[in-house]
Amino acid sequence: MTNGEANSEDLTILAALEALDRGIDSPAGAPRPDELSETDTLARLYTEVMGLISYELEPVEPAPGVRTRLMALVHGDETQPAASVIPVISAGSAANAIRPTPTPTPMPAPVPLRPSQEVRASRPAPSVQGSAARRAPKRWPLALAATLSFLLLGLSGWLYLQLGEQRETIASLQRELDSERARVAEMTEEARKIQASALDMREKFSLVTSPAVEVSPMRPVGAPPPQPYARGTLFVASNHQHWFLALDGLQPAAQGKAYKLWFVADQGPVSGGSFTAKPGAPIELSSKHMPPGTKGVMVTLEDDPEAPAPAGPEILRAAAVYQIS
Amino acid sequence: MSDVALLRQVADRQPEALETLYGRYASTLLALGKRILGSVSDAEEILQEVFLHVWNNATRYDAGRSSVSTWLILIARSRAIDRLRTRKVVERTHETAIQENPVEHASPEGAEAVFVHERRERVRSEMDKLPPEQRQVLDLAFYEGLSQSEIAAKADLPLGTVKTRTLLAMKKLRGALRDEIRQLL
Repeated sequence: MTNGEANSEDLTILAALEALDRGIDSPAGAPRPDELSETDTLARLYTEVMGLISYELEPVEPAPGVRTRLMALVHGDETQPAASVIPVISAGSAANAIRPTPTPTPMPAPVPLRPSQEVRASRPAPSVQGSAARRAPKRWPLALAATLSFLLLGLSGWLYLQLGEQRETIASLQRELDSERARVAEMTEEARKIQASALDMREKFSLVTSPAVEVSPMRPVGAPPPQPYARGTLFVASNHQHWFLALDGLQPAAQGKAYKLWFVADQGPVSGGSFTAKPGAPIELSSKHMPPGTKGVMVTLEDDPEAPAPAGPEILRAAAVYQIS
Repeated sequence: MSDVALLRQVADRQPEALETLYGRYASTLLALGKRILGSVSDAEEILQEVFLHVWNNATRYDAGRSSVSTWLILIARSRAIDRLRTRKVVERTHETAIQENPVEHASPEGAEAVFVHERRERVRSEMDKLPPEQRQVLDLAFYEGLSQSEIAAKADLPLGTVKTRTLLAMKKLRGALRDEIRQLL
């Protein structure tokens, strides 16, 4: 390594350390264009070193409530950013929104009398003679006002009824919308499950059909075997990490008991997890990790599903290994 | 399923994927938060914030810059350091953390846990091999969020010495943890 390379590496380390304070989402620095890929690779390596540092700490299991609260927040809103407050418009408030806001009616300004009215007011009272002829025309404004009042009353009633119908329509549409939303959510959930299942199937299929996969049949153990009809097949990928186990014919475990899968590794038996069986239902287990130095695999029936080492009777054991190439 | 595939599902708003990621990394992130803040309850709040951040920002993850585990760890560290600065806690909190929960210990079970357990043992062993003066600057930088200048002031050392010790420690770890880094890339 030249001095120049060493200096560049030093600068990259220091830049990566400084970038910690800016957060991992922001760029780590501005490398020269001719060093872009090399510097980026180096920065990536040192970023991973910093990520590994915290693995020196003893893991601390969070309280179950933390996971529950987190998932409640997430399940509460799967389409909007979590923990954000979504304003909810109820049917009542929607109706209020379209209802015209009552505005205060302005008081009419005093109107000055016209000169003709003033004249009329100061005119002397008419004589009795001929008053009947003048009294008849004075009634029609009252009749007109009454008619207009009735019309306005009718119009108000009609508008009130229309408003009620519109409220009902809005409420009905809101209910339909809620129902459709629920249906879409159900279908989305179903689609997700199908997608996850298809992905899982594809992974398993690629494992069992990949070249150089090791296949090991699992057969009943004991004389006589406690479960003579139990069978299993273990597929192990060429990297000796990814494995898939298909089991069939296991009897349902009694209350409180569970089957456990064990990898017999350099450090002794390592639990691969516990599971139960249902009558006639096949069991499939898989993982991307297998303990290093695994030499054998077995299934036992345990009284304690959390047992750190096999204590119950052995039901199945991997017999031999065949390589498909 | 790989971490990247899970994160892709989180970006597609699939809560089960977030829950799986939580199961894989919560205990590691909580340990980091507790180490920085000295309090499990504060660390649990940070833990929740981190996974909400992941839920809302999964699309911002850049696989070219870090592994998923490193991304999560550095988000958690950044949040915890921010909270530490807000609280203006200056004393080291390591002892408090030990007193608060002296017996808390995760018991790994299953093949996947064995895999992580081996990684822990390896990292712990390599960190223990660092000379105390290099270990000190690394702790101050990583767990207390101090800059090189702040470390120099706090430890009463020349800035150049702090930088040299930091660089030596980082290079040693890079060399010693080559296999672990390869698994993450």
